[in-house]
Amino acid sequence: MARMKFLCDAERCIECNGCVTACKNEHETPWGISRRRVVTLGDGKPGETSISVACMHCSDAPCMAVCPTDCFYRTDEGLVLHDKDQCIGCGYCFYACPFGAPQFPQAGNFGLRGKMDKCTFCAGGPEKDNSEEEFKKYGRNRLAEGKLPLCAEMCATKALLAGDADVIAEIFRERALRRGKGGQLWGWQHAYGKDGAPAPAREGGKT
Amino acid sequence: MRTSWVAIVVVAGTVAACGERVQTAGDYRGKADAKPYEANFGGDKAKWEAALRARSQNQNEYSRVQ
Repeated sequence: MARMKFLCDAERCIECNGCVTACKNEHETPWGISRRRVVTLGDGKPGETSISVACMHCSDAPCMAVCPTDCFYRTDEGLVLHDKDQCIGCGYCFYACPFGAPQFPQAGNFGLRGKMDKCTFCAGGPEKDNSEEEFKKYGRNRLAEGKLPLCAEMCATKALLAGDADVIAEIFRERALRRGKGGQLWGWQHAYGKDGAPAPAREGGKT
Repeated sequence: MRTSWVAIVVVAGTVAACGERVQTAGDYRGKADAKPYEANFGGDKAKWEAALRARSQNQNEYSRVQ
């Protein structure tokens, strides 16, 4: 397996927010936390485009580089996950992320920030897989159940694809060839670089 | 001669702050995570990958309608 990636087909996204709802429901994220959202460019004008955005699990993740507590790790599947027990909620990752993925729940009065929360590619975190502890901190671990992220599986138009990069790139390639347009991959170059080469797994984590 | 030395020192001191240090991520300091195929697939990576591959094809309507 190469590595896991998200791919959003802007030609197909109809801004239904099904991915947002699916994610929120699956992980039971608190009020104010939205791991995924739909961004619409040129809203209401001819040629408007919508894209579903969440953590892209970048090859050279800037959140990982700026974290003062080094709470991020990369799995063998190329997913960028973090340990909430290490996170101090400083918000550096929020400023570094080009996709605005990190979310911070309100942890108290006066706007006190809680621990960072973001898309895990439905892969949980560094707790026992499919345990109650893991669910509370990181949401459901579908990947350990042999399932893909629910946002992509629930997408009605299959605009949002998730899975092994080679597989979803092939699905998208066939689709773009058949319709003869819309072959642009939004955010891919930004997240994965020109060649999309996987970055090595970070040492220290088991994966 | 002395003036040029002073000039060199002043210039060196001024531009020293202009350098940019290489920013690299430190070592992960959190807890270790288990492999995703350990809990439900008994450590069988091939079986887990096959399950995901089959699931991935549900996203391809061209193969679904054949």
